[in-house]
Amino acid sequence: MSTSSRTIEHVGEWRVELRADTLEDVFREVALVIARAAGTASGSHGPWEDVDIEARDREALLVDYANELLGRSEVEGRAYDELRDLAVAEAPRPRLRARVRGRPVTAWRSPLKAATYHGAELSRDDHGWRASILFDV
Amino acid sequence: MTVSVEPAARPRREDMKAVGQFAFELPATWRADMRVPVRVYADDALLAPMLEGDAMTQLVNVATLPGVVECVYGMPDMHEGYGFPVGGVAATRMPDGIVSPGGVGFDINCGVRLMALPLTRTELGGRLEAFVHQLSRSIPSGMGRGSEWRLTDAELDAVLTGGSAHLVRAFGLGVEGDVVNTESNGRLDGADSSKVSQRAKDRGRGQLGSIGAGNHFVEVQAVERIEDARAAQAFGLRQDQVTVLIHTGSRGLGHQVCTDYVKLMDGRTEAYGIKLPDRQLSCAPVSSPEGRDYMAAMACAANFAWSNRQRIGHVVRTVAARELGIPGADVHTIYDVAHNIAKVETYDGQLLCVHRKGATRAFGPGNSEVPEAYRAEGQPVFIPGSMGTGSWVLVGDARSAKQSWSSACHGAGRTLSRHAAKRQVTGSQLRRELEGQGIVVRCPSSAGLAEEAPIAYKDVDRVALVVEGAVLARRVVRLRPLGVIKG
Repeated sequence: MSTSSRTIEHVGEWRVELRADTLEDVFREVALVIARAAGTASGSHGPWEDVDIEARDREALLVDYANELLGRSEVEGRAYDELRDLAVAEAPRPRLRARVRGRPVTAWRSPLKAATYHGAELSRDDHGWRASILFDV
Repeated sequence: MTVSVEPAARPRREDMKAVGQFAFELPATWRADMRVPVRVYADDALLAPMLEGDAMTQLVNVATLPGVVECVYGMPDMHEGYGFPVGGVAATRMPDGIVSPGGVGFDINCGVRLMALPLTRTELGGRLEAFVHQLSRSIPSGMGRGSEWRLTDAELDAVLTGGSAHLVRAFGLGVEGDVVNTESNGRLDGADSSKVSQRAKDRGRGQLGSIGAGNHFVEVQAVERIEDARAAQAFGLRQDQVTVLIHTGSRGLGHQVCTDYVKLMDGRTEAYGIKLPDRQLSCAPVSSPEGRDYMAAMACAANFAWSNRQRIGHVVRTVAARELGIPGADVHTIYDVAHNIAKVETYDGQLLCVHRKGATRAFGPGNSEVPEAYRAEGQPVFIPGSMGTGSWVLVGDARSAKQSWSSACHGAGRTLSRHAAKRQVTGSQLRRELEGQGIVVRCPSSAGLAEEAPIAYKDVDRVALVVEGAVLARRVVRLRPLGVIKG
């Protein structure tokens, strides 16, 4: 199964459902979803930046990670579309470590304000991993 | 471990008891974890979509929050959000009732400022397009478009604690009348910038004086119809008068404050023994360290938002002077009101923390927080409709104190998702339709324009009538759009 994402209808905001074979690929796809939503990025990638997030559970890790990328993106003016050295641990507490880098956004499109905990999901089934995030737009 | 309880099924129409011509109530017994009843102000047409989506379930969830008192309210424009529904109002008893950052929302003090120009639509004549165009060139809009002013740490801290009055007094960006005619005089007490994260400050420092994206806009309008001549006169509004409505909030700074404190409180709910049906309702007692820190940070974000609208208002004056030859002092701020905020207010001697999420304060006549010039009538209340339809100015009704914690609705309310709107209309088609109505449109994104199409919203006239019928606020004037600048 390849990694994928799709929009789920929501009256006021934007819910995205993601599918991936591995937990790591879920987090890679989240970065791509946010980078694509940001707008048109061009030019060279910026330097690699460290990301290290610990959360109380899987769903919180998913949302906190999305918010980390959104916040960095707005401050730095970059779309973070490349990750390396990605490691996701589930115990003792869920933790994600990675290096990310992004390209300057030349034409912004994204009105994403934040990712919410509302209905956040990150679970495994027979087909792989499934995640759902509601973004405030 | 996640602290949660299984949510129950959605309320149905037959579960709702009519308690007035425009009020429906769901008893506190409807779900085991409810502490108070739920009341929504609507007619049958407005109630139906609230029941079809998750808006009513979300309001039921709000009714479970610790310390919530009397009743939680849904405004006529209520629609599904996250945690709180948009258009939800709830009060908790101070000091130990909770405050919920999600109950305020990410765009802290998103709100509207209405300004009136000393000329009529007829007098504006053929200068409309140039005026709208110059406003669009002078006010940064859209995601990623901030301000040319990047505040230093000291400047930003002064704005966060001093609010819009600081911009007027320290930088001359406005007049004292703007401060007088702003809710809370544009400054919440208790703001402490040390409670705002560096990330939040970095997101906001280059955004003061910018609209942002989403449903934010600046609209040039004209008074189309006067319903209450006395209140209109008190507000300084007359038939055919040109007005400018500014709708924006605290930008990335507010978004980050909410993000930071939702996360913080999400990790503390167990410690406080709080069970939540939705994690986005994460909360802590107002008197707790987390609650106090949030109130201090939220006050900073609210002050930033009032300053944001203040600076945009100053640009409106500058453009009006340059393009229309109007002295800046003759452009009058009617009022500036918050939509997303938690405020400490007193009702029948009880100190309460009133959460308004997509709802506006609507104090009636005689309230000392209403500007003196308006006090005999009440606080101005604004219900912006969609572009292409119209907006309403209303005046607060004292009876709303017992009906809705002195609250009214903040807009027409969405009825279609952004994707559904884009499926029904294209941006270029909508642009042609609006221009066909004589409305000047400035929006860099056709997709963004389509997302906010009139078909995506409820009928603003119906919403305003229900607000009046439910005695939350009384209609004063209807405004029709002349020009729209969208982010």
